[in-house]
Amino acid sequence: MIAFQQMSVAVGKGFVRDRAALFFSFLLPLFFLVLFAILFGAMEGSENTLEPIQYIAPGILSFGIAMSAVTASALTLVTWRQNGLLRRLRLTPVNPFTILTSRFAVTVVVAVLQAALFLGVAFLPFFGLRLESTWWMAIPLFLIGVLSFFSLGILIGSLFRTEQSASAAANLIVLPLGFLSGTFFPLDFAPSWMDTVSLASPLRHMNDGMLALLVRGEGPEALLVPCGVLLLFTLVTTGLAGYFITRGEQ
Amino acid sequence: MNREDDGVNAVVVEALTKAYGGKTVVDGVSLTVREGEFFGLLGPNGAGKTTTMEMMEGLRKADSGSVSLLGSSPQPRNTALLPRIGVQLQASAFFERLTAHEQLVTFAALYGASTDRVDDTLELVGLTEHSHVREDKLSGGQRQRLSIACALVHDPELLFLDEPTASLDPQARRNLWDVLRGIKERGKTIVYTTHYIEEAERLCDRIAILDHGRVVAMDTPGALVGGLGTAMSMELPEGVLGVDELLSLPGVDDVRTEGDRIRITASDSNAVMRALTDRGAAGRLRTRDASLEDVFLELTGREYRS
Repeated sequence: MIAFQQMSVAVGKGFVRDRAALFFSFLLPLFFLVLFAILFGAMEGSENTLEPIQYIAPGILSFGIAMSAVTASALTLVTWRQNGLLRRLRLTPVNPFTILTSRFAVTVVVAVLQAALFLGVAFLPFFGLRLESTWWMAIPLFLIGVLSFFSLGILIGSLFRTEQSASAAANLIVLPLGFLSGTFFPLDFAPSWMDTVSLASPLRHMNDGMLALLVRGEGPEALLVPCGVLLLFTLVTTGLAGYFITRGEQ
Repeated sequence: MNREDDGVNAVVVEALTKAYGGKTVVDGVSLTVREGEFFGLLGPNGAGKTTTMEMMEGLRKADSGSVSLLGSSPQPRNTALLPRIGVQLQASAFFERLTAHEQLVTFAALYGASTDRVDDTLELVGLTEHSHVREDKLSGGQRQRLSIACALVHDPELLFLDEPTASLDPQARRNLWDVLRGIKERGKTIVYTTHYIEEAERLCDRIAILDHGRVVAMDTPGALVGGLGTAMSMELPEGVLGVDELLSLPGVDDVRTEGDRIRITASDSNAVMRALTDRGAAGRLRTRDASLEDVFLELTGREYRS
């Protein structure tokens, strides 16, 4: 337990002292919020039944969390492999599962703080976001979503050797996922193939569930499919990452 | 390697072999390190020191041969054994952006050890004043010392240090020698690699000289040098006395021209000194004690180049 705690503290301190990571995690989603609020504000009167802010806020939030969770976990793995810390950790009695869960704990704390800051800003009268009273039911979905992004990051980290290539790969994967998943514009406008392809994206399911609970006022049954798909996604990516990491060691 | 004299063995390595892509890097290394001993693996770059060390630590799997640390095998990963050993790898591995103090607190926790020894360990490696400096702001020598501290903070019995003094300036190396001696005084067994001959000679109780993946010699520094037969290496500038005349002197075994100097190998250096004094040439003579470099030359036929 002490190993888990101190690993989490160590990774957390490392994150807080990394200005670039702080910027990408906390300020970038807010820039997107402002940008899209202005953009969609100008398009008011479209046939969409939701106010634009109601639609874009949950999507941008999920996207921002995906971006930072994937990048941070991929970079941790690559950095630790590069600087030798991973080998050094193998010579401590600590369990690999403890290392993974402590890293995940930091990702969850960061994601919760991101959500709190983001929603706090989105509630301001200028944006005027309103959440349904059932919003808290989205918490399990939120956590499973973070888990799926974390495992995607670990998979990327297991495949790339340098920080540059891993962070480029994280961007190249998450950014298109954002477009595919209805983050920046509703998929109703998109060609039907895009809608089909997006079913493979964890972000799509996180968006669907978040929209349903946060702003559409649907019941918890709307979470079943998104949560199931995200768990499946996590299992597959974790399995692949485990395979590549073990193979890399030999 | 008499087992009877100094009691218990901390490390027993038998016939370790490792090849990469058909090239044999470690070729049948056997050695024994006694408890409390400061043991040096000395050899030029590429001799197989690090590979040997990492097989001892359990980080690499040997193709054949066996390793026993404190009576148990490090392979497969042995979490009961790991807290009893401390390891410094060749590349300093730290948690990003943490201070020296925070690194040690984290490493102590990874070993399930208390943090009581953190300040003491920082003092032992001379980093007390830098305890709140982040790892990326430390100098090369300070990083090496922090790396050693990370290996020590859980109070292991056996310590593996891989090239702790490499790429340090002379002053930083000397500081580190004091740190290493201080660790030995606390009764730890230390196995360390180096390519600095005179450093191994000063620090180690016993040395194994590695070349091309084989142990070419293993003993105390004194015994290795003493085994040469020549206690002293003597040199004269060329032109003072002819080679033939030198060869005819009493006590001289061999004479070789090296550049603009003549190197004299003698079993009885006193007799040579007297003979040279009679001929008025003693003032031009340069002598130095025979060293491990001479041992390496004798054993491998090559000059030692680290």
